[in-house]
Amino acid sequence: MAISDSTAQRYTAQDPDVRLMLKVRDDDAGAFEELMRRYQDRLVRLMTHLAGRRDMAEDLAQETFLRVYRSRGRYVPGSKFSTWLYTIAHNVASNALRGLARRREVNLVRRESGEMSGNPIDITALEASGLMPTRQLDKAELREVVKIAVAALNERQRMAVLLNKFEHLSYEEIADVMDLSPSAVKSLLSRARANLRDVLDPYLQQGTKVEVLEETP
Amino acid sequence: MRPYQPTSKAPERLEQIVSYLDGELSAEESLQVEERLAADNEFRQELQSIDRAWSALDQLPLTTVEDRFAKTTLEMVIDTARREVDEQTQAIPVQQRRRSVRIAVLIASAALLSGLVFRFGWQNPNRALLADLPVIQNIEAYSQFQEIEFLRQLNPKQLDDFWSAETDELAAAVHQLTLISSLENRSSWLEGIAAEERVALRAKYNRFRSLPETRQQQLRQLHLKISTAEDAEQLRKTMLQYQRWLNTLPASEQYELRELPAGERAKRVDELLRRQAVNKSLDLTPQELQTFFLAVKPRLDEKKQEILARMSSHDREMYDATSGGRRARYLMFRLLLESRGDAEQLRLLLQDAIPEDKLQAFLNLPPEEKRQRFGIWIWQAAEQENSGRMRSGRRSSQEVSEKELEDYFTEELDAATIERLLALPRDKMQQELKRRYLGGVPREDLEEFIVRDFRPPLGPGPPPRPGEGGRRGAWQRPREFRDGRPGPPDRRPRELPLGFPGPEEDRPPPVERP
Repeated sequence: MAISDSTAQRYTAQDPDVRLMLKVRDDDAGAFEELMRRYQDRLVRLMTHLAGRRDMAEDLAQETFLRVYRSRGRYVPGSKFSTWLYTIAHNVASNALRGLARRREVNLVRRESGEMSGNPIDITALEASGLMPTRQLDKAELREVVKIAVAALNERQRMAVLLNKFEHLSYEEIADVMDLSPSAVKSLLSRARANLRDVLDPYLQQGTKVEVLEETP
Repeated sequence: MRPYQPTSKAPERLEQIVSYLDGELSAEESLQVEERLAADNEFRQELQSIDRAWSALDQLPLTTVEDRFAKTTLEMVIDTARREVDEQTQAIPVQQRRRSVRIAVLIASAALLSGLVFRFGWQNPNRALLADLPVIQNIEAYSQFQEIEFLRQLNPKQLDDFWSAETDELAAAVHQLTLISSLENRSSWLEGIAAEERVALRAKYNRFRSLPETRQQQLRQLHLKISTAEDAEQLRKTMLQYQRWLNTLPASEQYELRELPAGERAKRVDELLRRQAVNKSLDLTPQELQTFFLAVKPRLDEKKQEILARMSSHDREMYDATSGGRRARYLMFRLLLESRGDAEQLRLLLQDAIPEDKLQAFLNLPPEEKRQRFGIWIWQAAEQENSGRMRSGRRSSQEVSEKELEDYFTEELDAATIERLLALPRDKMQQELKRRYLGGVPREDLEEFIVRDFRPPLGPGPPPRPGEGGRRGAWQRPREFRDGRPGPPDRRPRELPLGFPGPEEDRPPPVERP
């Protein structure tokens, strides 16, 4: 879709990262480095949660930056720079994850307190809890549980959650990134948040464990 | 074990809660949600549970990548840029129709590549040096113009004529620039240079680094435009010739040229080169100089009587206190000044003094240049008369040892002369030094004299640059400033070995003070 001059001017005026990217388009190496340094941590975090592995996340983030560089000549500011960057990141992640062997699917299984699931994370949680249902979860433990909860979301939900929660993208911007309608994003995020609540709330409220079981492919 | 079912029985309610929490509802919709929250306990608890879970995501650790990430990413981008450059280079010959576009892309890719290599190598001076090596090594040349069109406007034949005696040195410089324009050759070239050259290169590198980033980028762009031009070889040669020629000009003139817009500058250079070419054709051989001197001497004697008769007693006292050589030259200049503009007088004066072809060329000069040329002849003739005595006391150039030259350089020359000699390329400097040692005519002195006494005053020159001092041994090095710039010859007026009065002043020669 063609981007009007007024749109380009608006984003150029509003978003300093757009202005940096325009410099990259004009072959300003310093601007590219600056953009990379601004976004590298956020992009690697996004990719880590999407891919589940830090090494792979870094590869995907590098591939995203490479695509930004290769696309520089065609860049026209039709959105915030972050929206454009995450659109590329989304494509990179989707292609990579599609190319992998069928990803492990996870189901969430509620277990009664005291039942050992055999899952290492769950064991850790139980040991730490001292089998006290109402004990306060410590931070390390909670972090692990939150990681599990995020990993339990499907890829699209995970992407939407990460963009919304950590990159502060609006529904409309997420829709742009994921090539969806804003109402589809609304629905996606609602289901994702409900899923998160279902996994996390038992921990947060009562110390009830939720077992993550691998489903046989 | 029963599967846990996420909440899904009321998707609309869920969307309403989530949209409310995300601030995506209108004011009216938000109000409705808030009213329901106040009235509906289950609705409120559901909202709170969703909000708690959302807040729990804040526990996820922040990610900080190591420097290694940026390093490897930039390396990958550099590789990509390099591949782009290679692909574009290969594509150019077969895509002539889109040549300009291709070249623009190529330049852009290469510019970014160069910039990235430079920035990436910031903590590694050698990498940074290698990234911009062609520009750094030739920073003086690249700093003399902003667009390559300027180089195309210069007349290569004029520059070739001017540098005919320097072909080997120039060819070597052009070859070197061509060589190091290729990334692959830079490391090996750098490894192969002598320690002395390495020091000079480091000084240039520091100079480049001290430039603002935008200026560095301009110089890189300029280099890339030249490298990717179809006439790259000619452009490199012209650029290096131009810079060498420029360094032969007085600092003020260099400054003046730099200040002119490109088009006007090219015209001015053309005019100066034309004048220099004419001047070169008007040089007299030693024999011709002697003939010239003998021919003008009778007229000189006549003039002497006229002038002496007009002198006040005070001027006469000063004149009498002056050495013979100065008196002679003073009289010769009076002769010239009184003849200026009168072609017939000059013809009569010179018809038996210089060869006919040179006489014709001389008479065709504009009045200003005519005076300058006449001044050069007079100076040279007087110097030749003087140096005859010195020559008799010294041996031929073949017999002069380096030790003798060094002693002469360090012990006999004044600071200004040393500085001027150091501004010359090494071989030319040694040649000039030998000539001086053996009593030859130093051309720079002539030019200096002309600048001082025969040219209309120019505007203020550039601020004085810090020069490299040192006497013993310094003559063996090409003169360069500490920041790597080759300095222009010092043409500031100074006391000549034998002084002259100004052309417009009717005054006797100055008296030397003890």
